[in-house]
Amino acid sequence: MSTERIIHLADIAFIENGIRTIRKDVDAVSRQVESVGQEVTNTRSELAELEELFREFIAADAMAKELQLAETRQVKIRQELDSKYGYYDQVRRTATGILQAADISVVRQETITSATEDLMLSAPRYWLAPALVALSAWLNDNQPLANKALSEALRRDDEKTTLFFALISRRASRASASATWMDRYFGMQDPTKLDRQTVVLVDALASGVFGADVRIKCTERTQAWIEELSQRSGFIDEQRKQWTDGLRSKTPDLGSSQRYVYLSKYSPTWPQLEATLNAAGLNAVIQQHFKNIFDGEIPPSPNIQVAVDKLLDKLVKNFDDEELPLRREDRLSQLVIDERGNRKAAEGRYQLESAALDEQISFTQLLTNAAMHPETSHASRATQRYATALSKAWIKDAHSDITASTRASVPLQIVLQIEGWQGQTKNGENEAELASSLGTHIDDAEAKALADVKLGLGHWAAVVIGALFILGGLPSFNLLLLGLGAGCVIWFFVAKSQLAKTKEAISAKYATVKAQALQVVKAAVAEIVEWRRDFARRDADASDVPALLDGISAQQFVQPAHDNVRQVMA
Amino acid sequence: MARKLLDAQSMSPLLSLTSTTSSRATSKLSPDQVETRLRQKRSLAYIEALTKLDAGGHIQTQESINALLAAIQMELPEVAVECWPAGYVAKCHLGKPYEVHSLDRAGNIISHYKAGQSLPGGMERARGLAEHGGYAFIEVYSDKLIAVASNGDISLVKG
Repeated sequence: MSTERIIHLADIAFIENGIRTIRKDVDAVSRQVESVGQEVTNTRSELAELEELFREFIAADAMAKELQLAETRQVKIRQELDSKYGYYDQVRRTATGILQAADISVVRQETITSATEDLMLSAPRYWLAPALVALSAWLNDNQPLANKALSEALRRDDEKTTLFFALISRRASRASASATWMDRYFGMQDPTKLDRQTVVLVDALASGVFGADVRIKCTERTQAWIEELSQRSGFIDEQRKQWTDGLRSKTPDLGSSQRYVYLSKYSPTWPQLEATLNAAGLNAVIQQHFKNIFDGEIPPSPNIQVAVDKLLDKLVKNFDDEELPLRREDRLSQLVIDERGNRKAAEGRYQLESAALDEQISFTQLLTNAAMHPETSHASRATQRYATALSKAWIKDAHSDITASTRASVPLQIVLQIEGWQGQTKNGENEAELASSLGTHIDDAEAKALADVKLGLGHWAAVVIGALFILGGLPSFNLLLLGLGAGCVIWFFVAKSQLAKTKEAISAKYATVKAQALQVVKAAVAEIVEWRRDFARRDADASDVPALLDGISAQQFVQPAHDNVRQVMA
Repeated sequence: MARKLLDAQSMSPLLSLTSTTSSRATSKLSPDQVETRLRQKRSLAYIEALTKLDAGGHIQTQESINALLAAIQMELPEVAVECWPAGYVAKCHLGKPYEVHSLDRAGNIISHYKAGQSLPGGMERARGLAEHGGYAFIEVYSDKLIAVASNGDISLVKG
């Protein structure tokens, strides 16, 4: 009997040891599971970071490729322009060459004649070739040839030929011939559909190339054009659109996501905030643009010949319509390069500027192009000033409309989204409320997560079965049943203590999340206050532009002529 | 018992009076011309009349309605009644918690609104501009907003 008891004790001790070992193993396993869980969380957040980096990389790569493509395309286009229309260059140079040679009579007439005849043969369809033949015939006193060549030039391109000879006559101080040609030119013009080269006419006017009477007539005509255009229906709307587009084409990209990191990440209102801030930044850009137009010197030409030569150069080089498609592509490629490969932004700017490369435009659009896109429309600074001064009422209207529209688009409430919570504020005045609401939201989430951590059905079943085993094994001291029962019960208690650890881990995690989220709210609110201040500062610049424009008048900007007549300002 | 001054029936005789006087004008002015006219600078008398109206407080009297309609009629005699502003919104100088107030041609003439209260009848879209404080008041139309500065200059925002 006593040996049986000893054996029983020894068996139970053995079983207890076994169970202790199991417990230790279960502990170890649970620690490992915990660390694996932690690893998974870390891996997930690293993966999210990697995903973001990858997206940024793709975007940057796409932009770099676009940039490269644009540069290559531009080179190709310029080569094509050269090769297709390069022979025009020779004709163009000859024009100025003939005039300068005739000035000082160092070249024989025969040479000039044969040079122009060569050009007729090598540049078919080009208006300038017969125009030069007519010019050389004129220099040679050969009227029949001059008339014949002139008719051919007029047939090929009436407007450009007329303007060309108007400038040539002016250069040669043939006042009445110049006036006649100018009259003819004006007679051909429809102010709603002008060819782009009319900017040369405005250039000539603004830079004082014309004599007093032609200048007065030109000024009257341009005023009449403006009057005629103002009578048309839809004119006001058209002006507003033209100038709004022209001004908006200068909208800067302030790169605000670098400065407002939290807002750009946590606010769905951010795109509107960014767009509005960029629109407010337009004021400073426009002011600088107009300041550049009105400050700085316009170097005067030493004499009439040089002034006209510059205009002739421009006329013959820049306005051939055949080249327009290539020039438009060239401009788009240049914009993509300027925007460092951001094709969408470049296309947006191109849309706003595209009127500058339209074949036919209204006079007021010509003025807009000259003032806002001088490089594309080939306007000199004198023309820019004159055009701006003529259009100042419309510019002021468009600017005040843009300012009001920017102010109307300021979001009154800014929404924040953090960890599944959403709140809104105007200027951070309810920061405490937001923090408390966010805190409550996270606390609720924590409570829910903790509530999910509980003993499952299996555990309860185990403890019940264990108790039954023990009860069953006790009367007969059945070691097997007792052992199994004890094992089940111990497993139940082990699981219960694990629960406590899991709950602790969850609470710790949510405590970190809450602390970080509250930091985000604080930082975001600080950025909101800063954003409002930033906007107010940029918006205040809006009053500078009308003040600048108010100080100018159109008459001031017609340059003094090369003749000796005093101009009395109206 | 106070007469209800501002329901549709009592408004319409007033409106029909003004519409007969300007009906000759409506046949003359096309939509473009109306817009040109609305785009012209406002007179200082008009701005003063409007700002005086709502500085008087929350009083809804026959005089104040008549004064409003007279002010508009004097400023825009050639423009038909249907092209007049549907309402006006301005920054409220009564201080917190009021932000903006509105004048409505057909309905409550003067109402003050706190933060979170929406303006009725499509006038909420003028709130941002009014709160900015850079304009004397905002004229609200069905298809546009016209912001009037205290010197009479106007800015037009479509939509």
